[in-house]
Amino acid sequence: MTASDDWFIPLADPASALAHLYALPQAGAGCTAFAGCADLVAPDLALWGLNLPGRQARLAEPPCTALPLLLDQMASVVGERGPWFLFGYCSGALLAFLLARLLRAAGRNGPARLLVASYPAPDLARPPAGMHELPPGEFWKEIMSYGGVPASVAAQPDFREIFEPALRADYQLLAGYEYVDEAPLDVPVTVVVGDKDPVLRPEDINGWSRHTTGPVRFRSVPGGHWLLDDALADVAGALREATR
Amino acid sequence: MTAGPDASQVRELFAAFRRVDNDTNFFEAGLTSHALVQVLEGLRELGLELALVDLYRFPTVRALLSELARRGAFDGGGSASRTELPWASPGP
Repeated sequence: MTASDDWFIPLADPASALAHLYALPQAGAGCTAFAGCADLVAPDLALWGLNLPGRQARLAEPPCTALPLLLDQMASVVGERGPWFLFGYCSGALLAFLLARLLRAAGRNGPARLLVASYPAPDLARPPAGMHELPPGEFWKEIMSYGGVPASVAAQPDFREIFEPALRADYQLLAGYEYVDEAPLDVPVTVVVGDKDPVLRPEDINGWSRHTTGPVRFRSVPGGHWLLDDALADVAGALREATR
Repeated sequence: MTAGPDASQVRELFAAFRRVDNDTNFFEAGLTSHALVQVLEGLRELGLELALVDLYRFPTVRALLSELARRGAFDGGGSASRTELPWASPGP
């Protein structure tokens, strides 16, 4: 297997899977964000990580900063295999929600369940508008204040060079985001949140229930905001349970 | 003169984390930046001085070995590639 421009990469063998989970990572991240998670939900559930341009396996391509274009690209691929679920982590949760809406608007089948983690309800989300335009010093001060970067990686002399273009692109992608009122989705939703998340308020989490007419489950797991680091096994357990 | 590290030693460093063959893209295999930093340390122990960005620019065992050979680095030399990506521009 050599580098491809596929939009989703299977992080475990999908051949014997009973269902497929398409996973969208946090800003600046790529498909590897879900590698540990993929191992823990295999073999019944095949996890496919979003493989964005401008990073990782697609480093040589320019990043995508146009939200409609990205949503169209994802919509053209998800659901090729069924049954399937959609999982968004941090700002990936907003992308997952918008993708589910786009599929509905296109008359396509949506995911069997939408799973979101560590992100406020779409009407309460306020992605930073000017982040991608900050000068490098201020940009990195802000990024590092969010945490989630392993110290050994941040210590590499070329750390900023490698990660800055993808991070800036992903903040630009959502910089103009404004919630648009539409009828709620009709898919079941699972919301996973860390019990010590420093930024999410209860109403941010509970607000997700406004966005579907289907059943909503809330799963609190021990951890802060970066649950794939703090509570990987609990998140994987929640994913397995929600996709049964 | 001692023999330098061989290709299988290099491959093993990656395969310790995820299933990686000679042509497997490190990222499609699920190797995180955190894992790659640990691989980098292993490569240094083999006498191969590389920067993290090298693993991003040469993201398969075959591509990396070929780059190391080009640099004459199987005897331990080599410095980070400084070629700019065409679309990468510094921030404002």
